Amino acid sequence: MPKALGAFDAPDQSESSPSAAPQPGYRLLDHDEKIVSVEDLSAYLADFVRHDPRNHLPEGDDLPIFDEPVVGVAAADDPLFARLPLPEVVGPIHATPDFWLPGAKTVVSFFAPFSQEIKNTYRGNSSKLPTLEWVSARLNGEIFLNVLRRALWRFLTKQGAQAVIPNLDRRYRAENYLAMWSERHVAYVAGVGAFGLHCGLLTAKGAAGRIGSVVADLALPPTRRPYSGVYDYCLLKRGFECGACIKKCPAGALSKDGKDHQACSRNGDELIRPAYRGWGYHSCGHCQNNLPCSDGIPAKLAGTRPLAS
Amino acid sequence: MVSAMSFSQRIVTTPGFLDRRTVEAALADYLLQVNHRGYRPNRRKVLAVRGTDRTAWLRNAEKPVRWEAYYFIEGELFPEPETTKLPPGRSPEDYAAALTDQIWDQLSLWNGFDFTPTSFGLNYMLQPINFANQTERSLESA
Repeated sequence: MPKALGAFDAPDQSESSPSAAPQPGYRLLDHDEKIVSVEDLSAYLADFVRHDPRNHLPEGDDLPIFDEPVVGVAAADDPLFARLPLPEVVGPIHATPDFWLPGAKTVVSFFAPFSQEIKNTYRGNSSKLPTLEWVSARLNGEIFLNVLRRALWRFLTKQGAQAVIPNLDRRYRAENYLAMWSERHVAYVAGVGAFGLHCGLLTAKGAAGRIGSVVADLALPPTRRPYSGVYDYCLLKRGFECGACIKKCPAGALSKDGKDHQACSRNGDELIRPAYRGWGYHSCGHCQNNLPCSDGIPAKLAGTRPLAS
Repeated sequence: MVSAMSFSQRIVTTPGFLDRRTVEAALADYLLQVNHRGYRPNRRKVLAVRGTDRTAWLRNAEKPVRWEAYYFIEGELFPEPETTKLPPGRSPEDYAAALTDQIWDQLSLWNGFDFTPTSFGLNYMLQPINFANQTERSLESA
């Protein structure tokens, strides 16, 4: 005979479905597990993306902003970090993990792909303008990205680790399109993805997304980089026929030689901002949508050998 | 004279910092509620901050609204269990001020970045005008 629930008895959690919605509230409250691998971090961030109510657009049908992230771990003493301040990579403005956190052992990086619902609004978009959902996801997604960065930081510090979020640190700055901590380059080091001709990150979950990272003094096994060259996932750079992003760019900012950041920025200021003036949004998405690399690593590259680094 | 700026332009171009007085008031209200008839922390309650004037308010978590950022009180602002349990003999207002002291540097920084959602960092926010272009600047000064 089933037990009758008293007024203050909690429902038996053991009988609840694993897919049942969790308790409301901050997801960290339900995570006491010990972090031993990148899989633990992936599962934790995936839980946030699925259940934190802030992962939604604030207007229209409140579409979800991000899908579950791709997560990678780099050793703080990975030699590639020492290369990032070189002029031909990011530049002298770029700091090393040890700058943010003396004694740093690990850098956790994640790529949060925009949801299919957001990307679907871009399908068949022949306008020079991005969609409202895209520009909203770009700006409001950055706010939720901060939620994810802080959630990761909280999760690591709950283990007793010291941790720092470089992009939410008072010392952080950027000058002339160069960042003191480039999330894209850090993601490359952490095995999250490689670069495209359009300078975006190409990952197993595509190119359309945003990136975050946390530096910690907790030692974790680093993720093996499944690539060895900066452009290993870019069809054109690998010698295949492509250049789809060059054709899609409404500002002519992309060429086989790379990206003209000023032309891209001008397009945002002169075309997109005025078009979305009432909304207060900006940011183009043509070089992240409707391309062979938009939803994953291009199929043509499956089984090919990585480029030499 | 009515400015030509739209509502959203006003928000994205409004410089400012988190309003401490309203943070304390919202936390005091939360402490009053969850310490009534014993201590019952409420996982749904969030500290919401609106972009117009960076004032804070207490509400339940939901999908976001435009030009607002919010933070869960339990777990996000205060990760240690029972931090919001009112110590004997202290008023909600007095204890809210003490709790605000604990989190102020961090929260004001988080909120600053949340209302500067670009890759440029806080140095951009500290300029009088946030991510506004030249046209908006001229409107602001008109």
